Amino acid sequence: MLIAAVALALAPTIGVITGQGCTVSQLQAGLCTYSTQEQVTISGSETLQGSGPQASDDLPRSKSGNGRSPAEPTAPRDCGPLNRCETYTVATVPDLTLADIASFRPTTPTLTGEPAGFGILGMPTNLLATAAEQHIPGTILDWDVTVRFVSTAYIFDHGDGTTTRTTTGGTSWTTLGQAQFTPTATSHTYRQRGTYRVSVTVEYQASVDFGNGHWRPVPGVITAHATGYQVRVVEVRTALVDRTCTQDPTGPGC
Amino acid sequence: MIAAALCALLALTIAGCTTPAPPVPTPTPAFATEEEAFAAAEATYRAYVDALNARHADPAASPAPTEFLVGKALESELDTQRTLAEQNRSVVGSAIVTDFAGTEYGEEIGAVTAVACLDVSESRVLAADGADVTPAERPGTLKLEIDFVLVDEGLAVSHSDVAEDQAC
Repeated sequence: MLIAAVALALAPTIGVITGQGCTVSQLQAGLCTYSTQEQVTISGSETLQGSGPQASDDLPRSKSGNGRSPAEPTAPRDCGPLNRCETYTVATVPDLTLADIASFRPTTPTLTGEPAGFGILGMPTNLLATAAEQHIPGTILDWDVTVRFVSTAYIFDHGDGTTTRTTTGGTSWTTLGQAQFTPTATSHTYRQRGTYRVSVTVEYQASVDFGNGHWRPVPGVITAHATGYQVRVVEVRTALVDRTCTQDPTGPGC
Repeated sequence: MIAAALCALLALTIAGCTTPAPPVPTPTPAFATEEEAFAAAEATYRAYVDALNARHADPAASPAPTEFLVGKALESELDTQRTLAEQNRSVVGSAIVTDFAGTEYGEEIGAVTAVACLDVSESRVLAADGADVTPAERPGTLKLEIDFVLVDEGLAVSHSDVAEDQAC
């Protein structure tokens, strides 16, 4: 049942949050972030489990000994969740899937924003979602376990057809020490007046502790969805006038 | 004086200024065609880059490049100016728009998205003592994706970032 909810919640396309942007001045000043054109090709070399003591570094070894082998990128050595590369015996704890922990559900995240319920056209509105780490005790396959949910991604649906995927739920302007209406990792700038229904989908990584203090990750993500935050986007116009409306009833804004 | 006051009072009564009518949102006429919108975006962008170049040559040049910017783009520009000022650095030389193409036009809100190729190889970053401190890794040309929004019946740059396909 949880999986069905996951699919529904993820239906809108997921946007990628952009960085600080790149204007002409930033480009001139060399302040833009751009990827370099050279692509790193990872070759398919295999890393084999050695039986001897682990090498002190990860450099590829060349048997020919001419020392001129090309620098092959090597994948980091995967020594398993216990970080043991040598032979070891594994106690048979069952492999878990999302279906096994279906009875454990993360709580619904909270969703709010700044300024509360309002936004200004063309200026960032700060969205705030909280999804704290949760530890839920219970029983799986007759094992006493604790299931942990850690939020890994937040997908904000701004209600205007755009979504942003972030790794943070957002921080208030005050906490960030920023001025109001400045961009944050979770801010969004609306381009049209109106009332928008904002929602957030939080992706959690689930792990299970079978009582030995080790968290076994469960493949896949579990999502929780929060709605109910509305942003009314208004336009603010300012005008510098030299006379009051009484003095000049036909003046701007009168 | 009294006559003027009376006139004002009369005008006030006639105009009914005491209860200003709430602004009625009218559908934006925006642009008749996509081509028109793209042409307006290009004109805005070129005017902005011209203003920026003029400003780099003469700090008192008008119009200010910021007049063409809103939102994130404006914040980025102000941040950049602040950063450069803090480091006592300045930009000399011109940026050139070598290519401009509209990619999207949102008719209902009058928003335009475009990609532009910028050639900044002629511009340098100078330290206070005149030394060239242009970052070596700065590309000479770069493709930017630019968002425009309708502001006061004209277009303004609201966001600018490196295009996905960044090479020109």
